[in-house]
Amino acid sequence: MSALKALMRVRLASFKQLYLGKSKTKNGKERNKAVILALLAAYVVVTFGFLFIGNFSMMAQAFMAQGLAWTYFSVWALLDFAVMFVGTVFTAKAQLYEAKDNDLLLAMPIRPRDILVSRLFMIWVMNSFINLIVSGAAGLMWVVRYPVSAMGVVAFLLISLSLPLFSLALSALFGFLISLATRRVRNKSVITTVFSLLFLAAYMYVINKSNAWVESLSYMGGYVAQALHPVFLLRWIGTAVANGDVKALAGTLACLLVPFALAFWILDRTFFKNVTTVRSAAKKEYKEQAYSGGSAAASLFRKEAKRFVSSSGYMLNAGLGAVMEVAVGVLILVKRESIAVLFRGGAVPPQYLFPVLATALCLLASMTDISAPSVSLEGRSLWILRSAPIHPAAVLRAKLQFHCAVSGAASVIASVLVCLAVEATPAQWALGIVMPLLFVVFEGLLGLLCGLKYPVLDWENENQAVKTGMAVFIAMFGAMGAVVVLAGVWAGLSFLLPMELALCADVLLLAAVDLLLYRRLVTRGAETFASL
Amino acid sequence: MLKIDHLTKIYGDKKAVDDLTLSIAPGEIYGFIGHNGAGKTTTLKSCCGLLGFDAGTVTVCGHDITADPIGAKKTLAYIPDNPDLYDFLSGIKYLNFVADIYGVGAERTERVKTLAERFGLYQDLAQPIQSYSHGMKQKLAIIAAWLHQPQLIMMDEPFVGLDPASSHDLKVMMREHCDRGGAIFFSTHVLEVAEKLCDKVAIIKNGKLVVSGTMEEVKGNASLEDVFLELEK
Repeated sequence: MSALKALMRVRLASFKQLYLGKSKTKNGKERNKAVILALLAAYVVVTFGFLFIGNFSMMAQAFMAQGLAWTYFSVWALLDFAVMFVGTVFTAKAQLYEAKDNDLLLAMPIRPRDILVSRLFMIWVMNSFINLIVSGAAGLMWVVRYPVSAMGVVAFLLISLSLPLFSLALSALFGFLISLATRRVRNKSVITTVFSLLFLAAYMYVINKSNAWVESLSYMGGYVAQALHPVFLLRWIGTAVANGDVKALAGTLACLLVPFALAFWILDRTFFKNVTTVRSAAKKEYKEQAYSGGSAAASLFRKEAKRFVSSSGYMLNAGLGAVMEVAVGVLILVKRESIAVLFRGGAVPPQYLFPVLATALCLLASMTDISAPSVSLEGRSLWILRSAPIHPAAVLRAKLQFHCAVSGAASVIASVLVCLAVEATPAQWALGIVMPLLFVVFEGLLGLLCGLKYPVLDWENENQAVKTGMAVFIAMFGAMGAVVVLAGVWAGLSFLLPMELALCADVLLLAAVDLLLYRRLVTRGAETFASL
Repeated sequence: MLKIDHLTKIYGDKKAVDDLTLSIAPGEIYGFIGHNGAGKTTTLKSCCGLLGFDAGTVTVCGHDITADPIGAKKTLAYIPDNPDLYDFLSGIKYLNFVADIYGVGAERTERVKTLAERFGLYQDLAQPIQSYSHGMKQKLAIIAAWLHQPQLIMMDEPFVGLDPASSHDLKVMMREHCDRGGAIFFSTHVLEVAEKLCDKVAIIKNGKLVVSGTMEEVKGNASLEDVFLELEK
């Protein structure tokens, strides 16, 4: 039991370190960082909380007005499970089947079951956190909009406590399947990224459509009820809470808890074998290839590219903005008529359509933060570059170039799509491409300078460098702040100048700032890199 | 080839290296011995430009490491005590990266083959470095160090993790390198290896150079181990 307690403490400490960074010193900087991250976490909780409150409010009204209260709880359980499952399936894969400290722990006098329980505990904590937001919103809207019974409340609480365990069971199963599918392949990170993007796309689709679906539920309540009625578990959940049906509650709890018990039983019996079986990709024998060599700059660029594509965490966290940028470009082209309608005869004049879209492209570019963690990602292999006969500025330039290559390519594609959508004039074409591109360079430079200011080189897991570094945080939100400034400049000048000229001021401003930041990067930045 | 003149490195209020002076001539294998935390790694890192220092000068093949770091680094190779390489590259890609950085042309193909076959790593070069054992990573770091034919090679505990055959190969390569006019400066705790391999040896204690010179000058008729233990008292 003491070993299990110690493991739980280690898990919680690593969880805290992953999301809040190291806090060895209790100095002002650490406290400030903790406060900023706590505020950010509160912002996320409140945003999602309000999103779910809005959805459940509409659903409560729609279903309960039609006497279909049970359907409200069925949809709650379905939504709660879906968000928990998507949110933790990759953590389950990493924690249960690919944890790096398994060998270390198994060599100690600790029961494998304790290791398993400590890992399941952390996934349960994550599930419970999500469950708190979703079920909290559902419960709140239920209490506000509908009379509640004591039995109903008991059923709601018991089911909401059981749902994270049910989700945990299925996350563990799917985590195992994904791990199995990716273990034997060479491009593991690419496949993991594709899986993650598919899950994310599904999640975004559901979130994006949820309002429309919820709205349509108001006149399709009967249809939804009909569709969910044959799914006995969803029907039981609904009737257990809405009608206080004890039999339905017992059936529900059995359906939610038995899979968890079964999953635990299987995992308990297979955990040791799973984590000690080596399932590596087939060995590839080296065949000699003549290679005449290339420039140091090209080689540094290739190294950055290879690091990026070899890490699913880096690709997903730092490069997702590029995917979003292209996706939004496509969306704008497809929905160009609907977007144009918004600016026709609305509160915002039509001449604002193009600058708003150009600024939106800059905002999307601010979400691509490839350069910000790139210094920290050198980690313990920093000695290679530091002992090599290359100027530190060359290393930083390669990092900047790679950021600009990925984010810039996405930006140009999105710009072209936007220009096609708004049937841009030649001047708008030029501005629409140049302004976001200059912003991409700005984001890259800002990220690198922040990376040099706040390097995290002693990480154990590269996600610490990608996700938790102060550099990423400041670069992303700093760039978002810059977008607000750009919008303010063109909006202010638009009263004095034609819109194209107002946007030219943004372009000139960005070019000047880029130049200054670049100069700082290759002088002070290079000095800082040399002394890391 | 390497001239360390009154090198001093301070961490907080502790002098990690205290007024250290020594020089290494072409053709010499120079062993650097000391207890844990004596200042060996700090000295090696300072000599190859990985660490700044508080006083003194370090000159590598005529290039001041502070004033002309790139000129100095072109002539040297460094192998750290723990070979943290780019896990995301394959062995061959890492070697090509190093070759590009040091400007090695088409001759790299033959050099890679010769060196990798010598260490039995040739067939594994297509594998990602993350799949390598500690010893394989150490071998790859050694191959990368020799790839651009540096004049001075600095190594921190180079024999750790190597199997006996590879240790033997490394010793032979060190001697061959010095016979061609190069020089080697390396730290080790294996006194028997130092005694058999080194032309000169320096013993450092609490950051200060205690004794240095040819092997005969340092140990006389005693064993290096006896001398070291005596000095450590």
